[in-house]
Amino acid sequence: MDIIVKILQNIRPEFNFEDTVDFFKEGMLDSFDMLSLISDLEKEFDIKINGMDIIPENFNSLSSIKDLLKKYGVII
Amino acid sequence: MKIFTPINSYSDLKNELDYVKHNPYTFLNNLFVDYTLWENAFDEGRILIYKTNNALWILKRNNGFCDLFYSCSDLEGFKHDLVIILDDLDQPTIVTTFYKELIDEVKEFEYITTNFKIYSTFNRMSNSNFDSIKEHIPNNQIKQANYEDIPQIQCLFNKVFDKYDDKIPDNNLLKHYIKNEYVRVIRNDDKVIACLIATIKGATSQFQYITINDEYQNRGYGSIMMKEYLYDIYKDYVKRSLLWVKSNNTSAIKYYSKHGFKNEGLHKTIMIYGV
Repeated sequence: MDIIVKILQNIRPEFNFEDTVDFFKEGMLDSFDMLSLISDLEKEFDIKINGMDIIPENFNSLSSIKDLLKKYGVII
Repeated sequence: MKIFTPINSYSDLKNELDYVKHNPYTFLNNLFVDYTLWENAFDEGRILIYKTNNALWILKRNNGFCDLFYSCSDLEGFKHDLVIILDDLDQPTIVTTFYKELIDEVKEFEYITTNFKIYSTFNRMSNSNFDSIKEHIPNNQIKQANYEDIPQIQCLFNKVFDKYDDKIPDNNLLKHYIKNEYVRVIRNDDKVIACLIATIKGATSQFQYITINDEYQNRGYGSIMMKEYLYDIYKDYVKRSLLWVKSNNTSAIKYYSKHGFKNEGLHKTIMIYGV
């Protein structure tokens, strides 16, 4: 999980992602940050996230990101 | 206009969007919009949709032009529908899109450029410099705006901003901003000479507009408003401020950099059809 936090904090160093329930509702990420996050996750884990999975629900918390990565065979 | 039909409320649109969210339509989209601000446009019948097997298309009529939004299943379906839609448009129409390097598999940018011309590109800048609130002395010239300021704010905005890419707020949107968001003005003899508008969502503030009357420029009003704005947002819950600036507006980029904003490397492009 640490690696996801590290990626998120690389995008938005001013926020504490570990204690947040919904990154989008809290204003910590928006749609554009989501695109940066996707790009960083793809590079880090050498995966290609399908367009159909590019919805906020898949990136709004550490657990949802973890679940999405699991779908692409990445176990954290 | 033959193919688009009006949709009358945000909840109706939300139903449509919730539906497309759970089917392959979401492959290709430019739905980076806050629909809750469209209340008056719904009431006035200015929001129209067109549903096909390939996509949900949303057209928002503005004053003399339209914004086009879409959520599509694939590029081929997108192209197929777009040919029909372009034939049906009766006003200049804008599509906001994003550089393809953000999502390599989405080739929307290349395709749209064959039908639309590039009107302008924007960079996103962000500020999370909390030092700006240290040793700040509130400026008593800066006041919260009220509804009576709206005609003067509009007058200022109409002089300075471009209706296509700056999205000048209409009367109702200004009312919404004044009631719910951060709107500050400087008045001189009851005349609004400067205005700054920002919206706040959770820990992020989106800086929307700043403008100074021509006659009062180069007197430091912009800087004092910006400093006050950063002080006001950071003293509470906000931890970052974002803004979009035209990529070729070097003086504005320099100005924002001076106030601690940094280029994020994110871009958006305004494309226009029919102009």
